[in-house]
Amino acid sequence: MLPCGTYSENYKQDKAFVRTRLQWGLLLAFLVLLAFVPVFVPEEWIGALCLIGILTIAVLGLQILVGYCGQINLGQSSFMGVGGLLGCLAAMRLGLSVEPSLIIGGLAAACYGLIFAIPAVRVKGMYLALTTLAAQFVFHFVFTRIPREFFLGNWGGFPVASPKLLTGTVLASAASMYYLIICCAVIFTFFAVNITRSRLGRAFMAVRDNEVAAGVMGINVAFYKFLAFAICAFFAGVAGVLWGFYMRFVNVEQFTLFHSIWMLGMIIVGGMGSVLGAILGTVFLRAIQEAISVIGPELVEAFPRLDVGLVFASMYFILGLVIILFLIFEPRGLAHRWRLFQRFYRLWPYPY
Amino acid sequence: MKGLVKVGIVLLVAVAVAILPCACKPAAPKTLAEYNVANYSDLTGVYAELSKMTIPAQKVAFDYWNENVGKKLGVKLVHKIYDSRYDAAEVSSIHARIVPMDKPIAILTQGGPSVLPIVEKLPEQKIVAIHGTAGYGFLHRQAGWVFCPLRGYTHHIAAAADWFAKEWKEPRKLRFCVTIFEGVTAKDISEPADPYVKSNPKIEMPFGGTINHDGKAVDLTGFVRKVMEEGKPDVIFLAPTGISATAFYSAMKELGYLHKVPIINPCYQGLGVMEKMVGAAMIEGDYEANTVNMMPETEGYKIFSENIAKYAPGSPWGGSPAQYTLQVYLLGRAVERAVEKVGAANVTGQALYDVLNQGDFQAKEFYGLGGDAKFTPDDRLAGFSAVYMYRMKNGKVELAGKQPISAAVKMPYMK
Repeated sequence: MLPCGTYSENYKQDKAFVRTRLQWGLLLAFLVLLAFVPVFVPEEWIGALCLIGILTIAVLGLQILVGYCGQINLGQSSFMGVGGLLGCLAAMRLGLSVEPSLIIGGLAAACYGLIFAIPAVRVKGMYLALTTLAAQFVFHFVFTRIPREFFLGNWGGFPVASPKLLTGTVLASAASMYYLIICCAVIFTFFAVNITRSRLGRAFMAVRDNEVAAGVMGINVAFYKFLAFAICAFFAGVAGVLWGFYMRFVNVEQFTLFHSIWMLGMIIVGGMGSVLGAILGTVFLRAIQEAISVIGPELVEAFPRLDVGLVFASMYFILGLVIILFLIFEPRGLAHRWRLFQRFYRLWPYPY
Repeated sequence: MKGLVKVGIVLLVAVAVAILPCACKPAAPKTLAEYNVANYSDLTGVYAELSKMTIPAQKVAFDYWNENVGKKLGVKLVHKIYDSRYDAAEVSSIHARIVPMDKPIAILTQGGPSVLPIVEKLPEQKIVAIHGTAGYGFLHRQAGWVFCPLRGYTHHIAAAADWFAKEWKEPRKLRFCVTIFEGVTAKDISEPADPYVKSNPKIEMPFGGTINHDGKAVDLTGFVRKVMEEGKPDVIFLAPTGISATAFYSAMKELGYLHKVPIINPCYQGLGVMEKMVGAAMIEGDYEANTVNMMPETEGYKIFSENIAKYAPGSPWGGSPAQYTLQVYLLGRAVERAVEKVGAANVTGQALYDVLNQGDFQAKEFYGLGGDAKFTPDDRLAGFSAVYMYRMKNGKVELAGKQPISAAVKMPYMK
């Protein structure tokens, strides 16, 4: 729904990414805001924002596969792991800068993701979920058995040096890592939005809505499923490399099934089939987790006689409760709530 | 003259009267320099049960040190507890926030995931970490900022094997079986442990070396059957997860092998923890290999037992509370030495690193909980020199023996 008085007079306008001056203004203001975050946000929160940025990229990839193409995936964390380990290894072994390492990590993860796209051609639903679950176990099984000489003399992972850009700039500080991660997050959000607006995205949605109908319309269902898996894994791989650069350490055990489930939770809470939903879900759940890790220690300090375990466990109980209540009262996710707000704002003061 | 004497006496009395109240007046409270110490403990993850035992013990140790040592030095250590969830992602997130916010001079860590994401950042941030349990090569690098007084699990396995070989009276070789849950950790521990154990002429390792089991398995009957029937071990060193420990014991019971072959439990899942998980009867006759002294004769235990009611009445003592108490005392000793060098107001992570790096710590400094410890830049897993072998007998933990850790144990270090 467009604001009153805004209409397209030609195809170019109709396809424009940003349509009004106000939208341009808001977008620029938002980008400027992101650029100045390290200036006005206390340093202690930069790390949390970096993690949100990394997870956003991985969750966007998952949204394309699950939300747009309708293929379930329980192995997103393993795709991140493959990308992270191989991308960072390329950086360490070959002395590559960030840019090629990100591409190598993304491509490595995409190749790994394609292996698990093969079953998607034949099976769907719970059966597909099980095959992608295998991605998680295969990842752990294989990467813990790779001789340690391959991982710079360590089992299953290695320390990562401060990343450097093609220009030679070394990203050693938290703020510089923030800029790298946020730039990547913005670029990948742009990609994701455009994928969904393109022929590719429409093909994904057709496959999601009805595979037979999509096939009848001339859409190569198998090809688009492969492509969706590859794109999803590529996003995850890039997120994995950023994770390695940010943590300065990458290891098989950092990429668990638990994280894959969390990422699915993020798109459910944010809203399936919406790029904005992926972002909102990631921000919302990470924000709650961060809040818990702040409130918990404060409570423990204020009431030293309280059982520490009980305090933290209660915090997670509250997190679970929030998610359950959310799913009951807003099953279409945060993105839907945002759309309702937009509609209300545009129609105001009229009630319809 | 007499007049002058009188005046002198009057003056002296006046001065004395003026000084006396000042002398009798209690000294103004010395301002204490406060330093934050972040504690990354698993409060909601897979080892949350363990933390319920260790956190109250650490609180007691902090209180004791602040009251009895810190006050004299003019220093107070503020214990800040954070939930690591035994998850590397969570640790990196809280670490990124805590460092600029709390400006800790030291971090107390628990388990691999609480160290792995920060091991590279600590030297840049000039913060030392003291690891609360045994380590493995992966966590440590030359001149690193993580100190591990309890040494490596490899050292524990090696010493336990040596001790059992020493006690072995049969003419044939001792069949010493090691099983560790599947993962990178297992590789890192077994790679140096296997050659060392196999080099002992009195020992033979069934299956040719360490075998792995599924750490997430709730049923290990098939695995235990294979170990017992094919391996025919005389003793088993079991390094499990919480889940697989229960599964292993259940399978041993189900197959009728329980109490027939002694099991050595590792320090992170020692007899105290296992007693809570499966009951004392199940672990009767089994062992724990640990580098801390958990026997109740120590000063450390006395401090714990006298003060624990303040935080968690009835909280049990054992290997794990002793380990994490010792972690606090080692930090305290390092702070003492740092204060001597740089003054109470100038203690930094760098100062702690310097004293830990160069320091020879004596057993008496740990209130009897540990032996002599020396860290060198070349060996971050240097620390206590012997492993205590504890045994569960008649429902009580007793000290079965003590075995020096051989210098021949070689650890792989992170490149």
